[in-house]
Amino acid sequence: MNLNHTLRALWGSFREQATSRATDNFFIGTLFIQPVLMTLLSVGIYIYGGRPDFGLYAVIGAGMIGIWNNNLWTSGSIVQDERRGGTLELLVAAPTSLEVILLGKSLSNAIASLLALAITFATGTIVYRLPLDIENPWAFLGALLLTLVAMTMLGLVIGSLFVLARAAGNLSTVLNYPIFILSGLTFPLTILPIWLRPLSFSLAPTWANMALARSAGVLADASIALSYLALIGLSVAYFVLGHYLYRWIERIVRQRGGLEQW
Amino acid sequence: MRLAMRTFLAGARASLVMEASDFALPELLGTRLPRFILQALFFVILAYAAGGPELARFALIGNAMGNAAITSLIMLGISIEIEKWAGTLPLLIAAPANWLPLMIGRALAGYLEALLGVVTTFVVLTPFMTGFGFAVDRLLLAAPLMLFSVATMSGLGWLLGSITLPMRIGLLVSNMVAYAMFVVCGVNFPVEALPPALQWVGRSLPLTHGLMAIRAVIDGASYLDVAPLIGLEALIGLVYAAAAWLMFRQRLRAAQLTGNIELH
Repeated sequence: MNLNHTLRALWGSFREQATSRATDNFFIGTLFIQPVLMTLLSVGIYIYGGRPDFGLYAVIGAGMIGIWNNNLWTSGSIVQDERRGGTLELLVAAPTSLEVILLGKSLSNAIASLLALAITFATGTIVYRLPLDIENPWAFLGALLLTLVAMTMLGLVIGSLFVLARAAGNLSTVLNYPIFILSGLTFPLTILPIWLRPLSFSLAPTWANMALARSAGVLADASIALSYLALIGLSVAYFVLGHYLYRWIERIVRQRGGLEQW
Repeated sequence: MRLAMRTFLAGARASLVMEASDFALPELLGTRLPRFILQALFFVILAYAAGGPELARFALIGNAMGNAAITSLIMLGISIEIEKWAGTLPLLIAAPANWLPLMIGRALAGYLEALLGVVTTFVVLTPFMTGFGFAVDRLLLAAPLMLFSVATMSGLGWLLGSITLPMRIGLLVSNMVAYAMFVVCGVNFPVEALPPALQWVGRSLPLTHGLMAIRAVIDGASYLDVAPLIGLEALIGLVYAAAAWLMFRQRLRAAQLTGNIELH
């Protein structure tokens, strides 16, 4: 398959995912309503606790929760929907690699999920009248772009894994909170035991949250350059992992000829 | 009366069997219960970061109970949705049996799962609350109030299920209302900290007063002290249940008249 075909497949899957998502009530709820509620909750807790200075950090954390939710939920549902529709076997058997399809769909999810951050900023401004000035807008934009890439690659890993998991929907719901906790979304990582730090640092949301917070002017002790490097490194690692994971899974399901058993 | 009891038992049996088939033990232990614990843990850590041990303790009680009550709300709302998905709603509507005991029976699995969630959350997370934990006897004393608050949520769940009966967004609406209740019902911070309009919303919903009563009993109050809160919670629960009953009856009547329930 040449580059032109790959790009066409990428674009087709990107567009298909965007179209099906636009008519999906759960996606609309997860993207538009949940970030509002999470912002109300997390900023409200800080204000009640007498720490309004953490408001912007909570807004960014709530935005990252929205981004993660949309990626995990929709990337998990890509495979689940194809399985339910009886089209997963056809996609695996087709000459266009399912990996390319997953990549296009994950990219579509990641771009849409960035809206969550805009919604949390709007909620923080309108409801709590928080001063949400971004100290370094260009650095913030750079962090957003790297977050987009990292989330797309992570979506590829999750999508591949869910080929083998019929309970993908349930796994999506249970995987959320450990990631929020380990990534320090809405609270500082320093509150967690130090032995959890390696796990936290292996997750893209941790670095994305730090890069966004630092460029916005909170988390003075974090380094933007280090966060950028970590996001780039993790994106590459997720891509390599996702690629080999997919190859391995594809080989298993082709050898056994029993994709429907998972 | 015997017929109503039989219908109730049939509904209860159906709900338990569906729960058992939907959530086998590995799924319950691998997804449902961990979610209860992890969601509570997330908000406890957030509350600890924002307000220290006292607010963390507040959040633990709130989230343990909030999760349970919301499970009850969603389960009842979704039980109507499930009949729709399975294509059995027209049969239920056409059947001569009284649907009220059936609906109460259908809520049973939700209550059990909710209570399992409360117990698991307290058992797993309380040992970590060193220095600001709970006396076990006070928790046990508050247990009937927890069951009571879970039950008062059913009316709202049923009402949401009835309102969304002709639509295809029942599960989404139940989920979003449930999330919103985490904001306005005093789950993570007191209702008094909300803007006045949201305080009014919070106080008109089930769970808010029940949660206040539970916190007071855990902190040493007697049932007599919290009787007004229990009374308010019961009243609000009954108002929602009555509204649900009227709405559901109206929906079923409209469905029988138009004969187009399958279209929804």
